[in-house]
Amino acid sequence: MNRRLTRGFIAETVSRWSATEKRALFVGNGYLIREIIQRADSAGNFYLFGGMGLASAMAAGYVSCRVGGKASVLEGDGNFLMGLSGALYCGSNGLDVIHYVYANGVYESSGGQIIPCTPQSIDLMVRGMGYQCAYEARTEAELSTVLSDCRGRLGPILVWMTGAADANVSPRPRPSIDMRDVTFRFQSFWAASARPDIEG
Amino acid sequence: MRATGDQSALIPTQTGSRLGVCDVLVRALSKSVVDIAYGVPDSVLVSVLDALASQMPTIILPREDLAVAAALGAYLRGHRPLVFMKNAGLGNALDALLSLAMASRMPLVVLIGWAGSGPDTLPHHTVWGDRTRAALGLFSDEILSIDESTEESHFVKRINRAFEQNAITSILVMPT
Repeated sequence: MNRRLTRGFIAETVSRWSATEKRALFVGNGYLIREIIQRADSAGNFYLFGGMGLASAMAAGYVSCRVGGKASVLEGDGNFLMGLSGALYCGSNGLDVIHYVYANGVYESSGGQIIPCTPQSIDLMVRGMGYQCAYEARTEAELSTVLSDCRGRLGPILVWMTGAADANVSPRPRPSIDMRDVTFRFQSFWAASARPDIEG
Repeated sequence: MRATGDQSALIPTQTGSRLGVCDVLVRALSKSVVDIAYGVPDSVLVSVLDALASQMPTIILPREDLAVAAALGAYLRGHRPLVFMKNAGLGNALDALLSLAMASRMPLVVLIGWAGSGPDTLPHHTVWGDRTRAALGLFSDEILSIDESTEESHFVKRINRAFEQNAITSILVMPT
């Protein structure tokens, strides 16, 4: 359990945790989507194959358009930086979003180029953005502890998960799932789960 | 089939109407299935947005691409969203409109303040104004224009059609 965090572990763990918590999960583009689809795909997940940096903004629309909405966001640090104002919108509006960022410091699916800037203090950054709090995790054990602590809590909360790109791990193949199918099954899944006879 | 800049559809007009563009547009939107709006404010749209806010939730986002993404998030939860922005904002929104909305076939109505058209001859506006229809043609199934004599009921049908056909319909509003 003291193993360093890997993309695969994060993808599987966050997907399963979000399903257990009945949170819609919005996943930013890149290798994280491939990992989740291989390891823990769910109809309750929405994958942003396109829309770079927009996972948190999409979750914001989903959560805020009606009372009782809650979501998770999972994205890499490149996507997070690109969509920083979307995260700020979630934070400053107090939206119930648990925001997971896998920070490996590189644009891995683009060839491993180094991300040109990184927050100096995760805690100061997210508090300034209006998040309730931030967690940082580097190991599987730490992430498990964080998820236990987040269980049943309301967002906005940021979980910053530091890992290292591993050149020895081959990326998963591109998924064959169609974006239109992802949209349809996501809508159907959450519409059904909102029905009183199922929800109870 | 997506529209190109030269294939925009003009709404049939009704001679003799005394309603202003803002009134026609807001009445049509309020009678359509559109029930929530996201966007970035624009001076050309200011009257429309003020009136729209009394008809449905109208939410300001800091960037146009975020507005598109938030609107699509609301769509996933069962809403029928509209996105509003100045035409120059299309530059910020294009990836969201193409690789998210269009690729997923999620429907949207996109309301555009058409700076750099009509009486607006500012150079930094006309550079976008001259290219707005072409930009809209990249993702719009239909491009609608509106004026004082636009027939409201027909306009409502055209807006609703976007959601019936999982399409993107854009509406151009010229400065006065």
